[in-house]
Amino acid sequence: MRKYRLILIDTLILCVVSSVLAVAVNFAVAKLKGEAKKDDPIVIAIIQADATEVEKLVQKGADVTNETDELGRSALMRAAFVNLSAARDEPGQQGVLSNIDAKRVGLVGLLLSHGARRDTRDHDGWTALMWAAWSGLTQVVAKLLESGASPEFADRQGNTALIIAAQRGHAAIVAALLAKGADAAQANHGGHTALAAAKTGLAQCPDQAVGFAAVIAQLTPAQSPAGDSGSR
Amino acid sequence: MSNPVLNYFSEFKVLKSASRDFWLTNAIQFFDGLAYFSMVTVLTIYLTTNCGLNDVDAGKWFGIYMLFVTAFMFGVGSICDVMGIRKSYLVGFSLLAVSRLGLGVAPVFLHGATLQWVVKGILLVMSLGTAFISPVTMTSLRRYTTKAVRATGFNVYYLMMNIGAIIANALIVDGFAKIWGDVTAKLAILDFGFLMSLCAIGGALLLREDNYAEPSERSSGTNDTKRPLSILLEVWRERAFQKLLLFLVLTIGVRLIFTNQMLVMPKYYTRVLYTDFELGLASSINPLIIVLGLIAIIPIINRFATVRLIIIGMAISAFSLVFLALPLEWVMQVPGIHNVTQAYLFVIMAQIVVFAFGELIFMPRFTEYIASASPPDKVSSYMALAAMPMFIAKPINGFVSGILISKYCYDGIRPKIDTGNVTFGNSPEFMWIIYLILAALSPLAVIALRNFLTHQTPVPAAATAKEDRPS
Repeated sequence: MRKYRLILIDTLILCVVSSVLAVAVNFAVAKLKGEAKKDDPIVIAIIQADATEVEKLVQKGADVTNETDELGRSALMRAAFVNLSAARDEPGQQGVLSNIDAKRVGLVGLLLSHGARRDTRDHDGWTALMWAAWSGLTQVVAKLLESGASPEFADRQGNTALIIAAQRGHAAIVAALLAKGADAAQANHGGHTALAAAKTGLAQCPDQAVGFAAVIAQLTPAQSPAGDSGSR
Repeated sequence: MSNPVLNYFSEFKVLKSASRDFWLTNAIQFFDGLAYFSMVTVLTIYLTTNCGLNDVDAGKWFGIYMLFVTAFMFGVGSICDVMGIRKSYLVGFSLLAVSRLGLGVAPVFLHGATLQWVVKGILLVMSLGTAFISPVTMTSLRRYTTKAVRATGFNVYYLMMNIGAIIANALIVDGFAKIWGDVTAKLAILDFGFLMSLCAIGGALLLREDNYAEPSERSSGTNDTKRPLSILLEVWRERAFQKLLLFLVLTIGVRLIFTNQMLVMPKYYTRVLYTDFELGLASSINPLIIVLGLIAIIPIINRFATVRLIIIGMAISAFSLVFLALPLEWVMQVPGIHNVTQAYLFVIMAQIVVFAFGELIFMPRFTEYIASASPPDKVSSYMALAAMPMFIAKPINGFVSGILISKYCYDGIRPKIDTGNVTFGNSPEFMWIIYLILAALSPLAVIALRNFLTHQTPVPAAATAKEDRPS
């Protein structure tokens, strides 16, 4: 028993030393960086696609109107973002992206109905519509547009939701944005319009030619006579 | 030289005489390897996605977990000598079973701050369980092998551990993600770990405590178990130990890359590429190269001097980070690379392969160097205390990695990279510049102090390597 006692005392000492070390490093790091902002529980529920939990948190009074993370992103933006290897599902197939889109559109509707601001912009100037346009969430884009989200905002680089969707080859989203009056002639700070972005996307990802071809087809007749020079 | 594969495996014939307990130990290790390697690959993502810890807190608590594993290991090594193999295994795997199950089910029943504190508590329990396994296994392998087959027995153990790591990553991590999706798969992996712990407990129950392959090694029953702190007090003032400590501190930079494999890489891969990236496949390349290298390359490189190989291995390992630190525009110039995804896949694969090659050269000789730098009667003490610098470095890296990830590789950075909103100074590549500088300091410092470090240190020109894997 004496053997155990001595060893346990030493182990206890080591644990105390470890704890002191962890607390000291934590203190030093907090001093250097400041306390990191916690992720809102509602964001975690969104990532987990837990609609019940999102609803519960909203009912409990979670602030979906003003609360943003360290990068200025609101819960609505997080609900409008996914990053999957497949930029789109195969035509006519109900794939992973469509399933997520169907779940997320419900969450987006819930957040909007509880006062989430549709045109809040993060530190780079992105709106929820831009996040959804990049992610390929067609139903979410439609929901946001239906709620009055503006397709006219541009980020720090001058990219609009239309340019972003075209760059990713999301034909259905491009169509939805054009139908809501998105300006196809608008160029980003690099001078690229949505059409130019789609052509670049096609050159970079020839394996996704179908999606990009559909985008290019939609944008070509929609171009203004001024062509690619409509930067603002 | 004849076929290296046949040479390698022909050595295993001597194990025909090994006892059932030796093979049971390997089976136990295999079960635990499946659970451990699949868990560490996804733990940091689990803490964020399933438990809601932000990047900084996830890195912090992973660092604290590793810190306590090392701390407990100092003490547990001595406890195991007193308790015996069977009881130690049972205690260790019981703690692991409870903690793995706890991690697997807690996010289903709990939410918010309650969940996070429960998970933090479970991580501490798991660190105690994890600390039991390595020292008991070393004791077990020694006890159940004769001196004649011991080296081969350890080679089989390292081979099985790496094969376990390959299967855990390629089949468990990716397979579960395909079946259950990214979020639920993390829970399933931890629940699987619980089942593997039960299998390991079953194996441990069959072990015979009184089986000594070398009867001369049977304990006399006298009080020869050392207190953990007495080991430190014993060697603290010795010049050889101080030199060894300096060497270990100098090599921290490059050894941090090992902890980054678990702390940083999973989030980096899934954020610069996509959340359904085959994390397991990427993580299985390293042990695969190690296994192939053990068979084909080790016999050749063992002809070279230890310190030279350590420096070369460290330099190669540090250099591997150059790929990750390259500006993306440069990588896009490589023929055959047309888009951002291809560019990231290229640099990630290049880093994994080059790093594994460096590790293959560096790690076995690193362990050997520690042994050769120790006075013959104090090898165990020196080996035990060799973990000290990393004991301090692990939590620091845990905290720092969390901060770096939250700033340079946050969730959602990929769309911003695609649209030109991320400058080089804010990019994941810049994060790797920081780690590259830290890693590059190690080989440079060892080269600068080489004469001092090796002076009066018995370094064999070529010795049999004992391959080691970081825990």
